[in-house]
Amino acid sequence: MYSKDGENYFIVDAHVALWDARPENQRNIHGKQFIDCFYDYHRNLSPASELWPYEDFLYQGGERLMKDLFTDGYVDHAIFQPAALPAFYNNWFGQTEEAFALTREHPGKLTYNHCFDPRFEEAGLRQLREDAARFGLKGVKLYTAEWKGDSRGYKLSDKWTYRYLEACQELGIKNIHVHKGPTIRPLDRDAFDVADVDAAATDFTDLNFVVEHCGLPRLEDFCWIATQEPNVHAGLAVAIPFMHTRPRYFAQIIGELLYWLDEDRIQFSSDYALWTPKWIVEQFVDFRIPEDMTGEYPQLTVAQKKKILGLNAAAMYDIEVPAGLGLAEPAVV
Amino acid sequence: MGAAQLEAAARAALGTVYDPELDEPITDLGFVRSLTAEDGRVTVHLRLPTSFCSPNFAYLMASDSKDALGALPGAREVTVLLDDHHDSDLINRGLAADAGYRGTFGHEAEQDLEELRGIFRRKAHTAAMERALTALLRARPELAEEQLGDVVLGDLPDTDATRALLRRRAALGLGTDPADPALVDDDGRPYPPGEIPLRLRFARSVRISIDGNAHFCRGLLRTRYPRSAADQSARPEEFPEGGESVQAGDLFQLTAPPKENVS
Repeated sequence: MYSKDGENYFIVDAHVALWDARPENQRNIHGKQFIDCFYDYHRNLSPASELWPYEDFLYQGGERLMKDLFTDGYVDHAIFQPAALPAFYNNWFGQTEEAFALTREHPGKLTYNHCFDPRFEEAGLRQLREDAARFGLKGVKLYTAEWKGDSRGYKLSDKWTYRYLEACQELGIKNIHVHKGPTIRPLDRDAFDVADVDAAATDFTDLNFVVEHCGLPRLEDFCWIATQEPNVHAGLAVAIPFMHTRPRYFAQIIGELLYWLDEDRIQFSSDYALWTPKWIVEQFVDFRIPEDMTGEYPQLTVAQKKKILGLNAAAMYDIEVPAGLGLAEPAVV
Repeated sequence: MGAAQLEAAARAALGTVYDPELDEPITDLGFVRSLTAEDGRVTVHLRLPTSFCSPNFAYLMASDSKDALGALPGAREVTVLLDDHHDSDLINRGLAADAGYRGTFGHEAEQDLEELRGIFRRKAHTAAMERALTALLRARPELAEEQLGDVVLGDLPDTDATRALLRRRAALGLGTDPADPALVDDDGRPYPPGEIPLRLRFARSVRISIDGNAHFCRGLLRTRYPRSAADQSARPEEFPEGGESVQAGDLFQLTAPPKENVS
């Protein structure tokens, strides 16, 4: 919980990871390129006081994660959204066993979402059923730019993805978090195209599709589909840290999201360990649309901030909000 | 042609190569890492903000660079190399062999990249249209958004924003006559009056997206290659950080610690 100016905010960090990118886990040069790319994101958007040494960034471990999120970071509940990246890392990028063990060690604080890759076809479907039972899955994280053999990405609209989404319906996995990385095949098309989310959201209206980093770098395409599909949500991973280095750009992003979606379909996430939640929560509660931009965008309200910082994701994941921390009019999904 | 002349001509030629996604010359973005020209041999190294920038755009910029340099009268041998990208080896081999898009990418390529170019030409036009019309709305407060359907190109003031809009229209094959309507769809057709505020609003989100990506990509390039800061020219934006009166040259904020690429 975070408190400021007499207001209490229930915090759900909807996108965190426990990753291992140390050299001994890197399968090849791409493992190094991938974590270096993340580290440049971290260096580019973090306040100077929050910069980590490269070595710290490679691996955090459970103890540090608990401290950064819950002791220092005001987080009440966090949701793991692992990326597997087996083509880059020997023992995966997201550390399944360590993260799942942590959720059992700290009941009520962590939710473990797992991932699937529809290109494993029948074998992967069987695995998904086992994973759903073992982890009690309410959600999955899909990284569509994952490399597998000579394929460097897939789409939500692929035949096999639909088979997996049908299994999700059946298994009660209702929250599909989509990370649109550059999906390479075919190269003729825009690698960041979000049209496949549109197709899936239309055909699976009982599933929620949370598009991480709100479709960036295709904010406009994301907004256009989200305004038409009520089950499409925006995850603020990567977008929210712009608040520090580029507050006026962030004002436009959040202003557009509030215009095209609404305040019930936007979720805070630190994207830990890309960034830590402490400074992001503090700055977001203080954030105001700059005065000269309020002609374009209305000022953010306390209720909107409460929904974005926790109540929206709590509603989506049936996380209990302690008395006094909700709103008179509850967030709905 | 002397070495210095050839180098200047080569730099000018690279200035005609655009990042299609960000709608800016690669020279302004700082993507040209080095350029040498000796005895008719031109060698260019390109660099991008991350190893995982989309390879189709990376290939487009590299192959467009090779084409632009190859057309110079004094260049008898042109080498273009893309540095530090996950597909550097693949793309550099393809460029060296003049293998073309399909020859370079094999099964990952279907036809060509013209449709991709088209998507981003249309986005660039939409963003330029929004910039010009939003500027007009600010300059003429009595003008309502709904009236923008009546605005023709001749009504727009002679500004950089208007000239940029005319260039984008020409690139798309749309009319540039002063009597042509200014607010149009990708095919040059005006919108029904009832749709105008929504269409302007959507055009705004296109503009914000492109501007935002351009700034993030520039910033990441400076984080990755601190020396690239000196090569980048400022990009004007609608709401520059630090207030509207900020000068273009003040837009740089080096937020990352000044150390060379982590490795």
